[in-house]
Amino acid sequence: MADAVIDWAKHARAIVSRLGRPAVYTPAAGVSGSPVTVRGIFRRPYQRILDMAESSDPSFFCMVADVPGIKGGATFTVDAVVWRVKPSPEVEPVGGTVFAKLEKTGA
Amino acid sequence: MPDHVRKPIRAAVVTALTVPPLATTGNRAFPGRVYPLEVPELPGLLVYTGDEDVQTGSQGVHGHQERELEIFVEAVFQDLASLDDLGDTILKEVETALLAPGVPLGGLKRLRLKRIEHDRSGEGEKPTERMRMIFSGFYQTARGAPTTAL
Repeated sequence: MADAVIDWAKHARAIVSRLGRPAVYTPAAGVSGSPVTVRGIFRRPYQRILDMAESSDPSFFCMVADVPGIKGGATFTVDAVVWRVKPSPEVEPVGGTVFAKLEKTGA
Repeated sequence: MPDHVRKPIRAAVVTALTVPPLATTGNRAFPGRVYPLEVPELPGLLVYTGDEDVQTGSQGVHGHQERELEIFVEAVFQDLASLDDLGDTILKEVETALLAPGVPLGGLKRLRLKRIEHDRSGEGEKPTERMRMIFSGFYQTARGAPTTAL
């Protein structure tokens, strides 16, 4: 009996579509492409840094196909706030998703 | 009962770091702080005392106690551009505030900067650093009378 083939990318896109929110993705310098609105899951949970500074741990989770060539330096604008992708976003090839940690671009 | 001399020493260090306010850290010097600094409190300084070496002075059993106290001034700061540059600026301001001639230091006879340590992280919304400036302060008390600096 043939193993069932699971379309993980289809499932991941359904999750992102249902739970995600719009953001404007701008590729990093040197990557072709124009700013485009994508859908993804933006999170900003509390994080304590070096035990003595309060901060958050912002991230954006979306489909790799929507953000081709994503790398550090790209930005996501969420609710008019620009967040920069930290180096080496984590691409998950089976589900076709990417988990990008973010940092602020201004004060 | 009056306080141990360590307390006015800590208070004097905080005063030297806040009156007048330093350019980068302003009046954000926190003695004895154990809870994380919130974003509006950055850049800030944590002030606390540490280990202390106590020696009997040369005058024998009833003589003075010579005390060398570690005083920590720990800067916590974030910067997108250069943690090194901001750290050096804070260091300059703290050294000037504490080590310039004539700065009242609550009973210390002398104070020197002994060591600087760094911890930094790329986690969170901005790169963050804890820069620990470790000072050594020398003072004397009479044996059994730690509330009065000699």
